[in-house]
Amino acid sequence: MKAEQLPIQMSVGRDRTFGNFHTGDNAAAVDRLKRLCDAAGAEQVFVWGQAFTGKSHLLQAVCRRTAQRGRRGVFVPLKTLPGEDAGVLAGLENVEVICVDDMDAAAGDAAREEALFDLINRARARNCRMAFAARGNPTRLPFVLKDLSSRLVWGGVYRLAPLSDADKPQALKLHARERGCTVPDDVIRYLLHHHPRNMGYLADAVQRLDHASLRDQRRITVPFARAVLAGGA
Amino acid sequence: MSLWQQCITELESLLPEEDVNTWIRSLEAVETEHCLRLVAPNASTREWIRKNCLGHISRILSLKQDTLDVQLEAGPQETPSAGQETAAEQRHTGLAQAAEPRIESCLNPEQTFDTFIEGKSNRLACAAAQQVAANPSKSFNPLLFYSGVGLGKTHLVHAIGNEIKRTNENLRVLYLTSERFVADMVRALRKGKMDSFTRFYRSLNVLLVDDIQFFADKEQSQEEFFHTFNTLFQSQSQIIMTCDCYPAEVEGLQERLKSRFGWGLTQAIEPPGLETRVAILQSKARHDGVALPDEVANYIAENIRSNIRELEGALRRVIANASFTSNPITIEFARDALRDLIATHNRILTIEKIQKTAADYYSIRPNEMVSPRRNRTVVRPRQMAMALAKDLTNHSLPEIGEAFGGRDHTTVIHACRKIKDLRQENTQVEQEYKDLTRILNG
Repeated sequence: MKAEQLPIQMSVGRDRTFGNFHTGDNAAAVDRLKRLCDAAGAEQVFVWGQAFTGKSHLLQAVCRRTAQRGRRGVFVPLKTLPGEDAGVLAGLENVEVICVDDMDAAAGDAAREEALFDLINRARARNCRMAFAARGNPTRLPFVLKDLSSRLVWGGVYRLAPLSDADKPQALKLHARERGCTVPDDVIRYLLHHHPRNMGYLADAVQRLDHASLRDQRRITVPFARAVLAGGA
Repeated sequence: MSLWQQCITELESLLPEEDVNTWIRSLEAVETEHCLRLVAPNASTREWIRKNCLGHISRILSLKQDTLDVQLEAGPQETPSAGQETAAEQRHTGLAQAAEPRIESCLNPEQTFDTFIEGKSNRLACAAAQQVAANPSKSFNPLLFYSGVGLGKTHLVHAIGNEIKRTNENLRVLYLTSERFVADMVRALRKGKMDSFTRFYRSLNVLLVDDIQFFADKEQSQEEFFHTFNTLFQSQSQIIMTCDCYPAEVEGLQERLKSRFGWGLTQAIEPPGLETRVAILQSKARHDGVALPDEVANYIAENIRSNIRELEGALRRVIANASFTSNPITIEFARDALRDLIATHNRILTIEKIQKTAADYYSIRPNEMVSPRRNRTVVRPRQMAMALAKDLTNHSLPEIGEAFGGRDHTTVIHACRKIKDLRQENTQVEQEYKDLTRILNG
């Protein structure tokens, strides 16, 4: 019996920069976020969009670009941040650029909303720049504190559009290349024609194909992809 | 590259990127010859660094400079609101203004009466504000504005403060939010400096407190504010406050405070009408040095009605997009820039919705979309609906085919290609596609 090749389970590191973000139809939002890193004085941008539209990628790119300009930026992922918000958010107004991700995670939680409201007031008083991201439009997220939602829209709200089908092959190829594998054009076409077309699913499919290809020592072809993805391997 | 920047570069290869952006990049590094002092914005960040990567940091730095001492600390966790900590310690009780050192008023110099746009909705509030600014503590005391969010309460309060400072330079004026009052009090309690805190607040000539609704359920802060209020009122200092609703309706606020808040004038600010919204937009555009055509200001004002912050956000977006694309600001441009803001964009488009909209548009019955009929009057609308379903949803092509009467995914591919070609060849089809996209996107 042939021994099964066991691929090493490791996450592939990828720097999130503006350079490796597929802008697609989001050029205006990306431009505003870049200016946020470069400009001086109070500025604020809110981006929202469905899952896998690159919200966290963009906010982290803001932090990196801010650092490249010799300033301090901080990324605040509300969904995964440990500890109480008031403690974790304290003093952040002393950082030049504050990027708060997963704003929807705070909606409906009065204490979290108040901590964020207080942070925004402190940050504006100090001329900090702020970027926010959420899955929903800030005017429609179920915030208890109306003062908070009104402050979130002050600098401009941008909806991030998902990548178009024309942009997806290139994005998937880059994703595959960063994993060290090659996905042929016909396999990408097959994925786009026969499977859900959101980037989350597609990126996950590439990962599964890569994993199965290493395990089975086979090239990634359309029949192989059909078998792997149908079997949930 | 500084030592700390070199260290961050190495940490980037050791830690997940998110950790670097969340914790490492927020540290302030102060380098001296033999010491690198890392100042975290708060105690939580300091503890995270201590537990998760102080070892890495020390090791990396020791390889670069073995005599370097690395110190980790948390910086000040709250920004002093008015420089009052030092001032308060020097201060004596009493309100003799000439004897008191000046304080930082925390007023926004841009928010003045000149930049406040007056309209029917805020005329009374504006008049009261101007009267109080001209004669502090002699007309309405306290003066309280209440309204929904983003309607200009804070602007009016700053305008009063700025005007008083302009005409009475020596008066001790302080603007702050109620949360800042609470935070200052908590800090004073923690440091055992309540005497200084009390003396400082009770020595003001004009106290402007924003958002008093946040005193709700904070008993000790209410107690302290009650005494501050009484002292200031008795010494004829001016008190100006804002609230997001009529103060008597704030739950969790002591009755004695509610009653005192009503001693002077309580004035509502109503949402601005269309003309005021247009004037606000024109004023803000002028401030930014941008020429905003009247019809564009009208378009934005007609569509953004909720509050002034949202209005300003919309304007900023139009201006930023115009600058980015080097396009002139026209009504078409504004409509395009704000399309998703104005639309009910949280709505998720379904294939059924697309079918119904396309059927209505082409005046055919919705069930024709799923029928086997193949005559020309039905086929083109059906192909258009399939193309829109592909472009505007994330459904797979087999799912789209299935929703159109169980058709094969190759039929969907054919329909999409056909519509794509027709849009290039035929302006009528292109217009139909644009119309339907606009309708579906709201």
